[in-house]
Amino acid sequence: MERLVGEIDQRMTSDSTTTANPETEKVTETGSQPAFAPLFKIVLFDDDEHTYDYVVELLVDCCGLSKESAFRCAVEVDLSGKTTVFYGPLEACRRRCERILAYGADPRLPRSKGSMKAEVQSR
Amino acid sequence: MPEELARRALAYFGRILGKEIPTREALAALPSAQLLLLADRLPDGFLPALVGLLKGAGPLAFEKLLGEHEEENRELSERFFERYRAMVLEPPFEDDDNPLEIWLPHEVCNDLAFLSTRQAFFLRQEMRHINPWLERHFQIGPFPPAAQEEAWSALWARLTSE
Repeated sequence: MERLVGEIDQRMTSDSTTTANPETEKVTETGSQPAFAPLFKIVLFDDDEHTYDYVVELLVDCCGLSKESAFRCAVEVDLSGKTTVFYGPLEACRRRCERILAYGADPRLPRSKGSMKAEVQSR
Repeated sequence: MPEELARRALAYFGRILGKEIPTREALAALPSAQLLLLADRLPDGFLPALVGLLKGAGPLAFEKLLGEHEEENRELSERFFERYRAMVLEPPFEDDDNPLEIWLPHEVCNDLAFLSTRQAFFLRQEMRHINPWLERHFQIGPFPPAAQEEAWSALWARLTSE
């Protein structure tokens, strides 16, 4: 799990860089506020309408995980019922979560009718 | 997994480890090193059964398969995930495979309610796959690059007009 979190944190950092808010940076320079925006996470929930293949493809596409990390998340969501797939600022989490929720049904399973459930939570 | 099959699998796992594993809870309670050793000794085809029996045991089961962050478990853990991944994931597509031909046979397109659930999948496909699929089954197109939305609209219009 630490390895997974490491990769996710790395992505979070690069994401923070691209979405940095000038106002936040200004405040940081004064040293009166924390250097980082509050962190959030995306939690993905298990169901029986999606295959491991779907979860791997989803997490590679929407969260930028490697196939190996995405597969470990797929195993975790299968075993534990949920898994954290991304850490980052609220807006970055919302954007990715919307993509997960719009990813659609798993074409491999005729009974699959929609996306997996996911939500943004505070870390 | 049916209970009778689970009982037999647990008995087999117990023989492999040389200790009795009477229940799923006993399997999930094995230390990480023993669980990974069991996985390592199992034929590939039994790995889905092992994971299936651990399902519902909570986050600890997953942590154990990760080796509980112990360096001495790392090799077994990585080998487990590599073997399990090869076992359960579909083989990668070849260049000339068309995902639409595989996962969206044109027969199902008559069911508009079902087809509507495949819109996101359709829109994720590359035009090099969409164009031949539309041409072959519906004589629509070809569409220019990045015209997935337009292609979907044309398909939908065709089907709803029939």
